[in-house]
Amino acid sequence: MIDETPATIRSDLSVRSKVLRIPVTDSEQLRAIYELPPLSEILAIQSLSSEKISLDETMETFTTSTKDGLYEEFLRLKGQADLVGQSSTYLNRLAVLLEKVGRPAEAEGYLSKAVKQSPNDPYLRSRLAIVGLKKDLNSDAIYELEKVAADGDIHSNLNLSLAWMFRRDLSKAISVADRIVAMDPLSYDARLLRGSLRLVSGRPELALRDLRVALEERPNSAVAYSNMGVAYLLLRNMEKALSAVRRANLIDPVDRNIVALLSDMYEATGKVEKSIPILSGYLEFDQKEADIWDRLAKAYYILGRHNEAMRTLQNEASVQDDHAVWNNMALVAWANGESDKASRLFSHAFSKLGKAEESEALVANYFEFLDATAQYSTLLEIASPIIRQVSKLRTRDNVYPDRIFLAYISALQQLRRTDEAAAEAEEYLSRQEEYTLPAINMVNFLLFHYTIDTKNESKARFYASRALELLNSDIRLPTKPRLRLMNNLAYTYVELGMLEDAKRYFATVRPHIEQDPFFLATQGLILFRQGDWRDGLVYYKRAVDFSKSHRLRQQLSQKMHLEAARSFVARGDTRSARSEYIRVLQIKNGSTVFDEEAKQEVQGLSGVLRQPR
Amino acid sequence: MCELQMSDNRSFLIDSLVSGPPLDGRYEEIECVNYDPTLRTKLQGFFSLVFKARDKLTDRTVAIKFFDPDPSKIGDPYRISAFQREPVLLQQLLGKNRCLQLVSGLNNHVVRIVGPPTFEMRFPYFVIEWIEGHIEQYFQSQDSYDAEAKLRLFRDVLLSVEALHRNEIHHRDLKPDNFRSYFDNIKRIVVAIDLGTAARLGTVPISGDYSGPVGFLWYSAPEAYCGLAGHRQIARYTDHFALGCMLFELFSPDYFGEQLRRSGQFDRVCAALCHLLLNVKDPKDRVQQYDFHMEKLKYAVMLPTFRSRGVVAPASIGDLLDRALRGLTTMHFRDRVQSLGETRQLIDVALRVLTNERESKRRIELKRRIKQNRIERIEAREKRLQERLESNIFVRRLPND
Repeated sequence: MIDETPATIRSDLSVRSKVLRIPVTDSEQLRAIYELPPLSEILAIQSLSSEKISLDETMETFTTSTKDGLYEEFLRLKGQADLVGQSSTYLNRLAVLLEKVGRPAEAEGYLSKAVKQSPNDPYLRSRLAIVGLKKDLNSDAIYELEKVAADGDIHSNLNLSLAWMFRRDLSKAISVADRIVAMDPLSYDARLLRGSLRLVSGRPELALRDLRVALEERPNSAVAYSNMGVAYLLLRNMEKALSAVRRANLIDPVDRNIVALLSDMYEATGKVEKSIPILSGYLEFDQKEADIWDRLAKAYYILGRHNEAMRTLQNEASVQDDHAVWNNMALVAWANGESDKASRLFSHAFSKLGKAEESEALVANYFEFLDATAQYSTLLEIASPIIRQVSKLRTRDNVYPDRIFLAYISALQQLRRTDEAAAEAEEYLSRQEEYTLPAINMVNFLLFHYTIDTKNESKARFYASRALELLNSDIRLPTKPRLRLMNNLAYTYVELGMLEDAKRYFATVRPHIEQDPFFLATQGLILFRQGDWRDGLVYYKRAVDFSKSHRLRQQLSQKMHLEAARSFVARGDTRSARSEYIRVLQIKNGSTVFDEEAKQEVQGLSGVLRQPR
Repeated sequence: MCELQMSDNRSFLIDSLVSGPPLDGRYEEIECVNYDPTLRTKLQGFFSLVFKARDKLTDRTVAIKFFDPDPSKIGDPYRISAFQREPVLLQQLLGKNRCLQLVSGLNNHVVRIVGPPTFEMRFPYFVIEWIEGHIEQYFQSQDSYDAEAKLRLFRDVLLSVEALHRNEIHHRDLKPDNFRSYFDNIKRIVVAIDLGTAARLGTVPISGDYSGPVGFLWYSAPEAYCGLAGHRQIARYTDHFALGCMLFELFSPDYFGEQLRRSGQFDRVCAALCHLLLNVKDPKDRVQQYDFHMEKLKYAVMLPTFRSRGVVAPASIGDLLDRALRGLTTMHFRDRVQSLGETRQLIDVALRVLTNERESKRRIELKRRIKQNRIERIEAREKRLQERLESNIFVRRLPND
């Protein structure tokens, strides 16, 4: 019987995408729900992977498809033994073919026969030695290579130098390279090799000399240009470095290392928009390179093109689905003002975590996200059990534990648990063997805490001495944090009554005074304490005008009126002083410390405080 | 890997020819030359089984080319079409100098198999002239030949390919193995053989979509990797590329293709181009797009030169050979020489340099010998005089002496 009813297509209702909620426990007390991005989003990203093309994969296909043809050629050539069987070239070519089809042992056999046929051929001898070194880098083949090189063959010397390099004996590699350059000062290979070795051994200025000669010989060498770029980078000549790497990229747009380097350099020099066409151009033919997607997303992110950044990261996720890419997506969503989405993406990033040591950046970002979105309680809840472990992970190059700690301290501060924050900061500083930027932040915080918040003179003095120690140490601090620390130190000294010391340290800050409301305010304070209340007032007013945040404006205004009141008191004008104190109290959302000080001082004046209207 | 298996069809065909009556009533003493029944491997040629035979009609040795009846190949329409196309192309080369000559066109060797069931098997073949001389020894046994001999051979190779190109035929699988030579009086003639992958300008490609090269991969030009192997307008440049590889290999112990791929950049550029052209289907657009992208990518690959490792070319002609090599093998086909005449001129100059150098060396040697002879004569005279002085023999000369 034939079913003749026509096939029908069922209409589907369109439904809104729903966040995936995964309960982690079923206990009522510990109810934790794990939120993931909607299933449709995850599936869409996964489907992107099937459209991606990869240079490496296509190259692999070339290699595989060539192998059959090469083996066939080997068989054909082997049949020519009657004609040319005793020729070293013939035997060498058989070896080359076998090597390429993945039969190294047989290849070595043919190469040995070739060397027997032409025992004085340096090329064949060095090739045989290299085959030996490929099998075992520490084998005695290197001495055979040395013997051939000693005869003055340039190519054998090049190989010898490389062999020493692979054995991590740079001095020997360089001395062989010196010998080659002495043999032929215009050899491109020799100059490139020595230049690169000098670069690796930390002598960029010498490397540049060699690389320039190499480029005179071969002006189209992308390798020489990119190495030159690195040399200039090490010499802190960013402009020349950029120009060299740009040339390298123009010559060889398919080299992803050059593309990545150039993009990083554009980002470092604040020209991130220039990296976009380069990265997009590369992605036209190679779409499975997560490193390149990463950089493109970052460029869009820096430029505030968040939607493009998100699309780029989704593409990246389709080729490398790890925690880093989801972490980046969360950051983009956060920057785009989509806090809920960011939160879900962070959760998904945590689900992709492999090793614990990879988690630091993610945790740091997540804590900063919680801090920025005022989820202080959540932050402290998560941070408290792990904060001790995190601090142990801190190393010289790893800033993430510090960032995690900073977010933690910030949350404590925001929740007005400043004493706890100070205690944590002090403990943190006591563990530091050397100062880092976060450590400086801690010193700044403690100076503020003990000078303004708690007025603990002895502690303030102690941390002022730590700040001084820091400023006099060998650490190369960037200008901005250095000036900030100097300003804070000067402020502390003023408050401690050490006006001359304060002026001495503030002298360094004074040339930059117009850039920062804090600097202007400190200058105002110094002037007030010197008795020059009119100028002090002027500086404070400028500081208030200059400050961007409302809260800071309020605090600075409070301090200005407080200092004005004090100067009136000093001049015996209690009426004016009182009105200034009242102004301090009238300012809303300022500092409670200044409020308290004003209250106490005005009470001292009259004994009675009229409530401000 | 590709250890070709003995197939029933092949052995059946060989048996029927070797032990049967003369093929087509004229070809006898037939022996298979590219298949070793003991090793059970095919020695050369991918499409066909080749037999050597004697033509009773002309009393000349001929080559009979059969479509390989191996079951793995018999159903491939591209291979069948290419096999059928070869005698057609050869027909157009009849009577042309330096070109392989067709003896008889496409025919079928019918073998009746008496059953039950009784059926017939048809094996398509055509017959070409037999050329005995190989040129491969110049490439594989370089020490046995000097630079001049190698260049003269290469010049003959160029002439043979020029002859094909003049007749608008592009070989597309040039390699040392696909050339044979013979002597016409004292003149050596090199001829390109195996036109199985060759194509004529103006004909429609057999396969609509060429995903990769049609010849030996290490002699294939980059455009052949990017789906342009079937494009008639640029097939000439693919031949140029292969000739460049051959020129290099006359002086290098390595393969050009292997050296070119050593850094990996050649494959990267080809892969990138393949990806960029992935969605371009129209052949014209494809060439245009290839042109555009290759212009940007071509500098990424460093071509081997005659200064590369292991190459042994006389220093005096190194630059000339490099120029010739660049003209034949640059990445972008537009940058390659338009006609092989340009390369031939460079080879001629190189040959003249070598001749002059040899002549100059000969003269210097001659002068050195003359000088040496004089020195020897003077030394002998002085020696004689010394001996006389030592033996105190004085002969008074008579006035008439």
